[in-house]
Amino acid sequence: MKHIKGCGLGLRAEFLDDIHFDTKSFSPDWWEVTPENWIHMPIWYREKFEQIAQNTPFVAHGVSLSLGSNRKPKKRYLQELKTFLDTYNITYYSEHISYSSYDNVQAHELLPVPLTPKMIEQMSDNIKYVEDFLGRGLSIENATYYHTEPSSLSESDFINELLYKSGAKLLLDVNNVYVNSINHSYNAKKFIKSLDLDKVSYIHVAGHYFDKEVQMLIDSHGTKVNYDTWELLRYTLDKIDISPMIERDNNIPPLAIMQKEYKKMTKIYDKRISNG
Amino acid sequence: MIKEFPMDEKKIQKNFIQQINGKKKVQKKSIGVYKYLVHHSFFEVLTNAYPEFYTIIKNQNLEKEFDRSIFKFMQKNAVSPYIWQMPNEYRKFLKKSKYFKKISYLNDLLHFEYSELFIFMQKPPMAKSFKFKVSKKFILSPHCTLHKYNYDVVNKNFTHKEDYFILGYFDNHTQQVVYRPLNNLLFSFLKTLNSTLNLNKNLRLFLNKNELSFELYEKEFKIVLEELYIQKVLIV
Repeated sequence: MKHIKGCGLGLRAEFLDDIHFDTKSFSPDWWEVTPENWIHMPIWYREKFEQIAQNTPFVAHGVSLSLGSNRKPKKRYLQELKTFLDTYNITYYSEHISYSSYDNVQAHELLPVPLTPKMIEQMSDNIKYVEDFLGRGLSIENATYYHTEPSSLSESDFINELLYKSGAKLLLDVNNVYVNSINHSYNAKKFIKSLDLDKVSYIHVAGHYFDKEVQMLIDSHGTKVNYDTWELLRYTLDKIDISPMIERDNNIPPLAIMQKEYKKMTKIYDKRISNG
Repeated sequence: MIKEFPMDEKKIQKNFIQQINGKKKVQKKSIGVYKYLVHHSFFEVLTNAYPEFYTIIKNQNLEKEFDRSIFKFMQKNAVSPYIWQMPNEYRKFLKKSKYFKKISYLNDLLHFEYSELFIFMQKPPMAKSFKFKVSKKFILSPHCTLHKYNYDVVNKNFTHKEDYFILGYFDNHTQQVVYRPLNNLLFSFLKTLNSTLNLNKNLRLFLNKNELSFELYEKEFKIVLEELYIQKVLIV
């Protein structure tokens, strides 16, 4: 799998009307799309989506494969996913180190897996099964977690071993690292340093907020990217030459606002090139 | 470094899931966070898809029953990876459940409210354009729903029970879903339309089966069917 080039932004339906294709209009280097949101899309989005696909490369980021589940993903869904990826010529596809369904019942939320060797085996099997079906390599993202299941491995040991066993790449979400580091009291930079950074395919950044009721940071993807996450991105880009992108899934602002955040990210990204 | 640690991962995951979906009591505050997040996303999807239903829930102070039904639904019935299909799974679950039994028109209302989303989410048919001919074979477009309701859902009148035969379809001109009442005869004809036979043959068989004169009904049917073809309800 070759590296993704440039900076990305999550494509959301709310942006469609503001996306134009003349040279003066804003467009990221690539868009990240969530297949579950676009495999079946409302009729009025279709034409614009096709136009965007013809003008800007897509990277796909799924949410429902449930790689940590006790069941393999359904073939019917994988076939729809493969058709989608093939149709839009998408090489890069990523998912999460988590599960979102159990016994085939969906929770529609990314749930924390027990960090054990057995879970590594289970997830590796599921990853290989998906890769064989889709005919593509998979990247897996370090997820946020608000609860720690009984585990025998540290999070970084689990991730590194899973990358080794499965052969998958790592989608490094630095916002998730920051959120987890605060919620579970560890050093975010040390955590990033402990990961097998040679296997990172690209980087996620997003916003979070502090929830007073549960006294935790919540990875909401509903605010602008926080200062600490930008700092962690800078730190990471000093170590590896990898593309970042911004996710925004809630309280979605106009594209012009996201453009400002994107520019901020591009500055950080470009600086790493001049440093390099 | 990997340490040996005997544990049953499946049991751990099942236990976690059961606390989130309300089958078991939440044992830790941190698991409660997930219970809240999962319930919240189900609640948001369902109330967005069913605004009329949710208004009734609020007006009749049925919020607690609604919450209980969501948790019960989460335990077994949400199986699609596509969130947009969740409201229909919930409707099917409610139909077989003990919830909201006092609302006799519930299934009609949910079916109707979901039908708009369903029609919008269908892939546009590759419809060929040509002059309408009964010698051609037609199918119903995936961009339409054909359903018999027991209540006047289109006008939100739930006081009187009667048969309502409703065709819903995507109107290319207005880019909206249009609901059109049909008579029983046309409804039954469209329901039984056989895509392997041409329209004329379909019509003959149908009228014959219902002991109706082809000569008498042919013209009337053809006018309506041509109209439906123009609306892209009938496609080749």
